[in-house]
Amino acid sequence: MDEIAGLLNKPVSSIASLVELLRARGLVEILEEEKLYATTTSEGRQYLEALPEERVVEVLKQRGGEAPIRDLEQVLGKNIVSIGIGWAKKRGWIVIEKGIAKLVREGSLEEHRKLLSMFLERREVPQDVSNSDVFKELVQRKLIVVERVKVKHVKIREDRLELAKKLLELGEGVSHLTHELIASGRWRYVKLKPYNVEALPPIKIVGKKHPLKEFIEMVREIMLSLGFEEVRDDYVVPEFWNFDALFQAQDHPSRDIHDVLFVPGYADLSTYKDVVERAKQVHETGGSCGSIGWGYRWSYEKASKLLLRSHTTAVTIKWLYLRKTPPVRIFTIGKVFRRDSIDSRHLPEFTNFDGVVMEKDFNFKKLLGLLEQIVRGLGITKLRFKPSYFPFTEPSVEGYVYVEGYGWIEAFGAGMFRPEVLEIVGVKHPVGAWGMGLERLAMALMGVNDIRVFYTRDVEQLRSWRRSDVLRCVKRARH
Amino acid sequence: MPVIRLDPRRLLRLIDVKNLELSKLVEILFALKCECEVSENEIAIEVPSDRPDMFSAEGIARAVRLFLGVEEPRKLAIDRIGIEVEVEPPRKRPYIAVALVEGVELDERGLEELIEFQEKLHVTYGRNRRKVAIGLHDADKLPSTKLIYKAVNIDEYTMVPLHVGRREKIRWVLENTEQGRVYGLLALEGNLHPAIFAGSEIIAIPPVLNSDITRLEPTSKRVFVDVTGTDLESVLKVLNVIVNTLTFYGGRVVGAVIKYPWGTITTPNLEWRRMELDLRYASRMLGIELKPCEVAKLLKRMGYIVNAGDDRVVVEVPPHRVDILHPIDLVEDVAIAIGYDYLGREYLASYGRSEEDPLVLVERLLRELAVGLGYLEVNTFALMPSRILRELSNDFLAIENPLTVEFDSIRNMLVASLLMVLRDSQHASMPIKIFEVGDVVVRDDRSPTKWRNKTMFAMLLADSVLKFEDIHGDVYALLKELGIEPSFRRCTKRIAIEGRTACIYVDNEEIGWVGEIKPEILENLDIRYPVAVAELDVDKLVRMLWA
Repeated sequence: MDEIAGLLNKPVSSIASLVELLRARGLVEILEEEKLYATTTSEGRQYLEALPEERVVEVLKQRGGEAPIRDLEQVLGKNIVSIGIGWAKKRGWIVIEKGIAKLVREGSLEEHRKLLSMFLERREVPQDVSNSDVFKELVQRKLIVVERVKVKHVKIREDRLELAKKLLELGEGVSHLTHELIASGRWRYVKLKPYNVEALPPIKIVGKKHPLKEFIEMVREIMLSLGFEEVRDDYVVPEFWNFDALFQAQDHPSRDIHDVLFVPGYADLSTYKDVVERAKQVHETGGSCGSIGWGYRWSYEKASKLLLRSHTTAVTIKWLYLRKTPPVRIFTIGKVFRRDSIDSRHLPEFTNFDGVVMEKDFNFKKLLGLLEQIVRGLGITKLRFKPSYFPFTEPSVEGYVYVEGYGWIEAFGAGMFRPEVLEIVGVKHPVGAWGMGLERLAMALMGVNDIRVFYTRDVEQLRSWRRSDVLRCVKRARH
Repeated sequence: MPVIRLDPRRLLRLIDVKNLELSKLVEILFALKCECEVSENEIAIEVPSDRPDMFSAEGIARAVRLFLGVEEPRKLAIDRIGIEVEVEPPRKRPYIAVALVEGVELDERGLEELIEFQEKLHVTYGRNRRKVAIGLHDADKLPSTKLIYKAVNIDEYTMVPLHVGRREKIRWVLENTEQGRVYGLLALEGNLHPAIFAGSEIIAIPPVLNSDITRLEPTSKRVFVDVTGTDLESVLKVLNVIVNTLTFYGGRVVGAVIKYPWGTITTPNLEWRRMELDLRYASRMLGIELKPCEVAKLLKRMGYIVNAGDDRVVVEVPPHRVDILHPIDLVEDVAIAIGYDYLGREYLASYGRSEEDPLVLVERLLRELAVGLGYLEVNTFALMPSRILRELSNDFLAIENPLTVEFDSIRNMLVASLLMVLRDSQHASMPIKIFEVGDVVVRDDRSPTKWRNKTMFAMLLADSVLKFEDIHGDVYALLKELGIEPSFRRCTKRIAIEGRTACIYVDNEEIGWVGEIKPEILENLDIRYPVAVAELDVDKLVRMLWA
C-alpha cells in the first residue's frame, strides 16, 4: 500500500480508506504480510573494518603469537579486548593461560562485515539473510537491530479481474491532476478520471456588499451627476438644528418625548449666536421677513437640549447656514432616529436622504423638475405631486412614485424653505429642499416586503440576498 | 397628520354637488393636501395638520365647495351678543372664549363626527388639552346665559359629570372618571380647579369634563362652545375653527362679552386679516407668470376674498385659517388652486458631475477590499442595548426616553454591532466573516454637544477553530492595498485577550487594533465560537490618504 501511495503521491491514510472501500465492494482483497527490516547499530558501524575478535588476533600475530592481556588492553582499549577475547575464545582462535593470550588459529569474519555494511541504511532483510547464523549472531550481539513490520498488499480479486479492467477503461484513474504529475511528466502514465460534472457543487460563501448600502451608492451617484456635493454631520444635535432653525414651534407635537429620542445634556450654542438670536426673534414675532411668527416665548434652554437627529434636514440646514453664497447644491445621506417601535414598515432608525438647492432664481417649478430628475435616475417614470404640509417648507409637496409590481408609494417630502427659515439661517435666496426615507423606496425597487430585512443580524439571510436583486434595481435605472 | 373618519354619504350630502362621485371627491381632496382611504361605510381622510378647519366633515365640505366654485367666500358676523362671561382667571389656565351657533343640523353620525373633530383639535392644536381645551354644549339647556369662569375648591363644589348622571364633588370627578384621571392634573393647583358656571350650576371643569346637564344631543340645534387655554391667541383661533364648522349650516352666531380683570373682549372675533401679496414675489417663487385677476380667481377658490391691483393684491384671510403666517402661505394656495401637476417642471441646469467626498472614497475602497477578502457586508443599527455596550466599554451615550431596552443607547464601537450579528448568526455555516463601515458616537469635549460621530471600519472572523493570523493577515493586506505600511504593537484592550491583541500604528499614530475576544466576554454575550476582530479609524485613514 505504501508503494501505491508513493505512486499516486497521496498520504497512505487516504489510500487505506480507498482500498477499504474497494474491498467492501468486493473488488480487491488485502493480504497482510510481516516484513523484517534491519539497521546496523552505532556499535556495529564501528566494526565495519574489523570486529573486536579480529583485531585481537591481528595484534597477537604482530606479537609473535602471544601477549599478556594487559599489553593488549594498552593497544586496543579495555572494552574491545574484553569483547574480542570473549568471542575469539568462543571461536577457538585463542586460549588464555595465566593472563597471557595465545593464538591457536586464524579466522576471518568477512560475512559479518558484509552484513554490517548491508544494513547501514534501514532495509528489508532478504529471506536467506534472515535465516543465516551470521545474521542471527549480529542481532544477538546488538550490532544490528531488527523490526517487524506488517505490510498490506492489495490484490485485485481473481474473479473480478474482468470488472476491474472495465472500470479502467471507463476511466478510473487519477482524481487530481497535480503540479507534481505535470512537472514530473508522470501524467503520461496515469489516467485522469472523469468527474461527475453534472452533480450540484458544494455551497460557497460569497463576500458581498450590503444591498441597502449599494442602493445608497446608486442614489449618491445620481446626486453627484447632478452636481451636488455630499455633506455629513453628527447624530447628536441640539434641538435647535433639528427643529428651531426650521421654524418648528417649541411646543409642536412632533417635538414631543413620544416621538424623538433625547440624550442627556445641552449644547453650547454660543458658537451660533447670530442664528440663535434670529431664531428667537422669528419664532416670537416673525422677525423682519413679513411673518407673524408663532407668538410665544422662545426658550434657549429647550433649543439647546440634545437629541438624536430625527431627520437629516438638521444636517442640510446647518450647512446652508455655513454656505450662504449661491449657488449651493448639497445633499446628505445618513441615519435618523425616531421613538418608533419596530414592525414590517417602521424602524427606530433609518436612512434619510436630504438635499437643498439655493440659487438666485430657484423656484418651486424647478424643485418639481429636480425631484423628477432624481426619481428618473432611479428608473421611476411615473410620479405624482400632492400638496402637503411641513412646518419648514411652503409650498410643500409630497411625491408619490409608481413602482411596477408594487404600486404607488409615498416617496418623499419637499418644498421651498419658508421665509422664516431663510431669515433664521441668514440666507437671501430661494432654497428648495427635500427629504426621503431610503429604505421604503429600496423595498419597492428591490421587491422586499419587510423593512427589517435591511437590518437583519442573521448572516444566513444576508448570504441569501442575491446580487441580482440589486442588479435588477440598477437595470431598471438604466432603462 | 390627523386622520378623519367620516360617513361618505353624509359628506357627499354636505358637499351637495350634483353627480359628484366618491372617486372624483378623492381626487379633489388629493389636490387639497388630503389622502383618502375609502372603505364600504367610511372614508378615512388624512388631513394636513396645518388645516384644523378641515378636521371636520363640515370644514372639508366647505373647502371642497369653495374649490369647486359652488360657494363664494362669505364673511360671518356676530348676530347679537347673548352671553356674558365673568372671568376670575385661574392661574394655570387663565383664558376663555365662547360662542353660540344656531341652526346646527346634526344627527347620530353628525354628532359622533363633531365629537371626533373636537378630539382631533384637542390632540393637535390643544397639545392634548394642555394648551387648549374645548367644551360643546346644548345651548338650550344652559341654566343661564350669565357665566363665570374661575377656580373653585374641589372639595366644596359639585357637578353632574357627563355620562355619570348624579351629582358628585369635583374631587370625585377628577379621581373617578377616565378623563379626570388623564387630564385631572393639567389645571389643578392645590385643591383649586377651573370651572365654568352658568348661574350657580357648574357646566364644565376644563380641560377635563362637561356637565351632563348641558349634554349635546343628535337633535340639538343650538350649540354653545367654550374654549379655554393657556394662551389667548390660540384660544381665539380654535374658537374660530369651531365656529367655521358649526356655521356651515347657515345659522346665526351669538357672541359673548368676556370680562377679564384687565379688560373686556367680545368673542368670537370673526374679523378677516388683511395681507398683501406681491405678485412678482409669488411669480418668482413658483416660477410661473401670475396675473392679478387670475390670482384673485384662484385665491377665491381657496376661500379668500381678494382685491386685485396691478402687481399686488390685497388678500383677506378668513379667521379660521390659522395656518396663514406669511404671504408665502398664500403663494402655496395659489399653486394648489392651479394644481401642482399644471405648474410644469423645469430641469436643473447641469454643472457637471461633482466629486465624491474623500471619506466616501475611502469607505468605498475599504468595502471593496473587504469583499475581496471574502467578508460579507452587514448593515446594523447604531442604536443598541446598553446591557451589551456595558459588557464591552464605558462612556457611551444613553437615550433618556428609550422605547425599549433593545434601543436604549448608541454605539461607541463598531465591533459591538458585529458581535451582535454573530450572536444572532451562530446557526450559520462557519466560518463567519463579516464587516461594516459605519459611524459611532464618541465623547469629544471640543464639540458643542460634547459628542461627535466617528466613522469606523470593523471586520470580524469566527470559526470553530480560529487562526489569529487569518484576520491579522487580512487587515494587513487591506492596509497595504491602501498604500499604508502599518506596524503592529502589542497592546491591551478591555475586550481582547492579553497577548493576542495588537494596536495598529502608522507613523506612531494608532489607527486601529486587531485581536481575539476574551472568552468571558463571548460567554456573557452568549457566543460559543472563538472570535477575532479588527477595527480601523476611517477618519484617520482619510487624513493619511489625503495628507
